[in-house]
Amino acid sequence: MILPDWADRLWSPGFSPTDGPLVRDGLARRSWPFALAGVIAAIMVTFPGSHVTDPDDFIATALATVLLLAVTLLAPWPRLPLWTQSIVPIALLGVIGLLRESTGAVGGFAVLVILPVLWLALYGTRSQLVVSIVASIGVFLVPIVLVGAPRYPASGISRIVLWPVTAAIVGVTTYRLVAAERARTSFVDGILAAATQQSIIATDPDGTITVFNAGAERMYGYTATEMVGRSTPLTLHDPAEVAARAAELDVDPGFEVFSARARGGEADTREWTYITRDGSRLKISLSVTPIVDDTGVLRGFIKIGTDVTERTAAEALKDEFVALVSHELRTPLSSIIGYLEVLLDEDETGALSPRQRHFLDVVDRNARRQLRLVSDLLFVSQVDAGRVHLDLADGDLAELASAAVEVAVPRAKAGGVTVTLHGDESVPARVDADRIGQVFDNLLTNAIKFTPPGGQVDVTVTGSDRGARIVVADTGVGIPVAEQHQLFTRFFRASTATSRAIPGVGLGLTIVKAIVDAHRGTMTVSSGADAGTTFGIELPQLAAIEDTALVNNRSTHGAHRERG
Amino acid sequence: MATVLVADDDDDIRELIAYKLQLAGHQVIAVTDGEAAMNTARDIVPDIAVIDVTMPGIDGLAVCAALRGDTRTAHIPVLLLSARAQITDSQAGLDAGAMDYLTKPFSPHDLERRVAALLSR
Repeated sequence: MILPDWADRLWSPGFSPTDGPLVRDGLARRSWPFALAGVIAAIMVTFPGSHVTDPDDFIATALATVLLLAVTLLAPWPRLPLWTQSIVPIALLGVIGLLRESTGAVGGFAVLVILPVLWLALYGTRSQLVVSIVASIGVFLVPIVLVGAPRYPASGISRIVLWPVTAAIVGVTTYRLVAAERARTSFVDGILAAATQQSIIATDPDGTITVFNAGAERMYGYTATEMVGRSTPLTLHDPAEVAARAAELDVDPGFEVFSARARGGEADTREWTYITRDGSRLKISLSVTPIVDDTGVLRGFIKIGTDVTERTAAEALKDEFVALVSHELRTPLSSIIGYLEVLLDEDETGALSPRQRHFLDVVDRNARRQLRLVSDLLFVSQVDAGRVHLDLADGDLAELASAAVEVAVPRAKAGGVTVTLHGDESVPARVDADRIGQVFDNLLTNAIKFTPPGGQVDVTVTGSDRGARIVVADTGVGIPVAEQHQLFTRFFRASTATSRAIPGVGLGLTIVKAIVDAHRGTMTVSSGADAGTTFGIELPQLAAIEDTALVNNRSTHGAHRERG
Repeated sequence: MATVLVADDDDDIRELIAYKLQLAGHQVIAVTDGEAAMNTARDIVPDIAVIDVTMPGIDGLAVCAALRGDTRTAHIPVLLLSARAQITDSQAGLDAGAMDYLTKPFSPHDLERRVAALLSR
């Protein structure tokens, strides 16, 4: 980053140690920094102070250098066996040996032996590295053997030992570093390749693709080769959808559409339509997160996509089914309940005997009970789909509690249970009154059902600055501690309920919990077998939840309707 | 005494609504689908319309929107009946221009009161 762009480009292609041992392409590209050192060495020879002691050998050196350069540039490396590429650095050692020899071994060219060793440490295999280290000893040893030690000018034995040892240390250290980096990269690559069910696409900060994993290749039909460095994720998206999102975020309809949120450090997860290579459309749930390095600089983004096409279709089908069933079940009930009401309303003349009236009341009660069950099932399916709609309005929790208690009292009396309301006179809160009414109803129904005659149910509603607290406590049969964690699971019924044959289907508390959750509240239960049960609900100040997907606020209808 | 257009594809419910409203002294014209509802509304221009949301063909929301879009019928108050107790439905109804909505099953007595309230506006 300190270098200007062109210098950066010039430098980086030569050093990409994560390429792995001797990749097929780019031998010349990898070799040029080493060739550069050779050229500089050649220039040095012409400087005053260096002198050629053996012109024949020097010409041989020059010819060998040119030959080696030509081979490096022109040989059809991609078609040759991989190991042949290691000939270049090994041969370079030979050239260095010749160069030293021809300049009387006093030109300081010995340092060059480090380069081929480094070359193989970066790009070669372990055995090629060993060969190059041995060969570097040869560079010093062979001339002495050929020319003879006594006549050899720089016969200092130290040089023969020190340079190859230095080369070996540099080579082995570099090799180990590179191998570790390679292992790490291949580990990460392995993870990316193994994730065949998710598309993992990384980009640089501007959106150019840097990683396109096996899952992305499989799901979208493009190959990593055609995408990496050449394309942006926009290629995969439905332009109309991108334009719509751009308008929503008030940004240009480009890569910003995906990165705008993630740039701020937050994960952005939403569903997008992807268009694959063959033109088919997929619903993809996409999470975009920023990649930030240790120094806090944004390096790019990672986009992880999961194909939810089938799930979306299945959900739509289920929604349709639930809507249809609830409609079909409610329609007859509407007639039954409606006609019964008219019938009972009109009986001013007393044409019905008290017994007949009682029978019709039983029909009415049961029709309403079935209606409640249908509504509860519908509600639970909406909870499953994550679509609990709240109709928020300013209300009074104490009033809602009192209404629920009033309805519950006749039933409680029949069962010999006393119901008492405590707490504040008025607890203003912004809630969905119908749903909170259902919370009170369900908790009271349970409390009365599970409390034997002579028992007591206490409802307490209190308000504070932070929110409201609702407590419904009974002196009933209680819930064994071991079963309490299942309480809010739908259709779960405590053993204390089933063993006493107390009727119910096990939806009441599931619904209470869902409603409390939707209001961003929390729920606690304390109970034990034969120790009574106390349910506590904390509801926060609800101004904070108005802008959430869960809420459908009547005062802003239209704007947020189909969210969630 | 007012002229009330009632549109519902369920025979029993339609009869119940008609009966209750006639008993309250209104003149009721009952139809069974959305298209008939739109045509009748244009022809006779009722004082109020009670329309079911879930009808085959043109649904209640579309009828409501069509009535709003026509200068001859735009002033007619509409009471929507929704079979689904989903806020989204009633929201959509209010968006389409309905003035009130009732969720099925409804109380006939409640329906009568709401019709009276809409008429007195």
